[in-house]
Amino acid sequence: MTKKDKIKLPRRQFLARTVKAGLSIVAASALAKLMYNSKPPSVAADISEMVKVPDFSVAARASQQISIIKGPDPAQSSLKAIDLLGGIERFVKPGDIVVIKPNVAFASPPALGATTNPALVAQIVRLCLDRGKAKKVIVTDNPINNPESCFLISGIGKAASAAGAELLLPRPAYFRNTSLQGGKLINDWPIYFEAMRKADRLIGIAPLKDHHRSGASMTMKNFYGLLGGRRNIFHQNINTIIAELAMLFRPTLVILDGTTVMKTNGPTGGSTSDLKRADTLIAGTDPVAVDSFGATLLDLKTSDLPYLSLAAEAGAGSTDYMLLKPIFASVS
Amino acid sequence: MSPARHQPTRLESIVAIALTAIPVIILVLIFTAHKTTDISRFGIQSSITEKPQSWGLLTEDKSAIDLAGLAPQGFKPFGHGESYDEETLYEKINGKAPLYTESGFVKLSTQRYVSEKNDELTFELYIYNMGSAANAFSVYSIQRRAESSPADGMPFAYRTENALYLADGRYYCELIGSSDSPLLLDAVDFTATALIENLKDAGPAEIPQLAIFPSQNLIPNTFILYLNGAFGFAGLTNTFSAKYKVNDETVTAFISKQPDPAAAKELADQYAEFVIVNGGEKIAPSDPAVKYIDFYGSLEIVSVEDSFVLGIHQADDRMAADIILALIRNSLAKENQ
Repeated sequence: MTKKDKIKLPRRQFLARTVKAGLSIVAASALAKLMYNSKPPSVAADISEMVKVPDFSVAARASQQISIIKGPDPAQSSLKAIDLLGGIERFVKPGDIVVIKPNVAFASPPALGATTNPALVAQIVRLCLDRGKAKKVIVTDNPINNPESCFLISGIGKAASAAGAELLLPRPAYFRNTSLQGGKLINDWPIYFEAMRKADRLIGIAPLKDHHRSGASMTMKNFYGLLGGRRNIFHQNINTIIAELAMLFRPTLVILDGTTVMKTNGPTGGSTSDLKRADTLIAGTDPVAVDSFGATLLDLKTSDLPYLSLAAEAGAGSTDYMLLKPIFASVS
Repeated sequence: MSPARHQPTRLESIVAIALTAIPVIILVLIFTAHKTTDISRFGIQSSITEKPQSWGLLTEDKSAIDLAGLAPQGFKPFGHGESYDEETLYEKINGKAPLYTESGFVKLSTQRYVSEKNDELTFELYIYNMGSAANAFSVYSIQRRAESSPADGMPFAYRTENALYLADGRYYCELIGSSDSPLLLDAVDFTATALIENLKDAGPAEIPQLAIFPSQNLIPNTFILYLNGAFGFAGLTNTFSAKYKVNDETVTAFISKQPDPAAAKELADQYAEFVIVNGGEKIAPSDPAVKYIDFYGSLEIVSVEDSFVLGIHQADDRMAADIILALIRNSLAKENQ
């Protein structure tokens, strides 16, 4: 048998096969053309765009900017504090999406006071949902330590969920870069933006703590938790970064829980002997004023915490809380 | 009539194998590309994408100590052990990291334990390798809680209502309970004892400089070692302080060893100047070799004894301060003989 004999193929069959092969190539090419996406993934397109943090603040009301409540139970004190500022209805409108930012920085049991009191978080969640008629309440933070552990061990995850909030844990895709106009440090820096993207309100709830680097950790420092990236580099410029955070994040309301104060070895604490009862809770629309009063519970003056003056000079609020005519009350 | 089935030639076989191999190669290339994609091309910052990789729980502890094995009876390890170096320490303790990283920090190993019967009873063990006994003692002493009681049988150790803290050689350790439950505190004690037995490479636990402080009038367990910036003055390094009681007055004495007497005198002058620049006023000394400065109603005393800078910090009572200063000077004179 010759080589020619082996490859002998009828003309009709040869043509049929050629046409089939040709059609297959054309179909594959057409499909590839149809499915080809010349743009990079959508997440990339979003991330490359700088975002602007919305201003969540409410209009100031004379004599209703800061309330200071004495009482042993922070959840009860918070109700009184908010009522005296005009009620939750002033801050949350029906159908709003509310983001609550507690301090969940550590995987630390609630008894150690390094994180926001879970019962206080739950109270504010319920208040927003029940009386504020919020559509949704999101509780979130960006702990550097494992977020699941932090929300679990701090008790905040369980308390917030039970109260009806949605927990949002950070993922890399949730960060977007932003710049603070005139800022020295927050320039093209990633922030935890996802929660704020669709939010109508932002409420910060912070425990009152001593802080090794900044002197005190209160409501302004609480927003440090919304920074992404290797944010520890800002510890070298702690006063500037806290003042810039006060400019970048304009919350609807802040609550500073000084019922139990971490007086020493902050911000981690560790021993219950680091904690002292002050039985005081402060709520307000001016974080600088709230923190300025909070400093007194740590036996500090405004001048001991330079970030307060820096923030005030930048227009984030007033260090002279008495000028705002704080409303004092007590809850038994 | 159907054509006879022909046998493929060698060339046809090679072409067929090559054509079959092409999609396989393409699949391998796609898989490889996905594994090594540089997502920064799409504008995602590497600082963000690195984050999940650096979360503590993802880093299992590789220390020589079997942390899980330190679980006391009735308790079990809660999650994996974690470890942090100088770069990642802030992920665990955030704003407190500089206290350690500025004091010779090498590594932190941690492990949580939980009661087998009550998951609200937990404690966490922190083992800071500080590189030297002085560094470990420094972070131990600076953070020492006033409301505490000594823990007997351990090198430098104290208890609070819910925790136990100790320094052993190069290690500073914390065992922090979630409550003051007696069951939990017993478990903490067990693990602390087992831990010390396992810190075989801790090195000497003694801090020789503490012996310079005379025991007369000394308030126990009030030693502090400032590696840097004692009393707010950057130049005052490696400074030990201790509290004394004279009648009802509490007096803080300090010493700082310098390379030679000239360096000690220069540092003493600089510190006195620092206090004056910040609002202090010189007052008549009892001894010409000693500087007395009134600092907003409290008394700062600075002196030199051979290679040591010594002094009294913010005393309320001059007589009590002079008594303690004399005690320290005598002790240093003996030390220098």
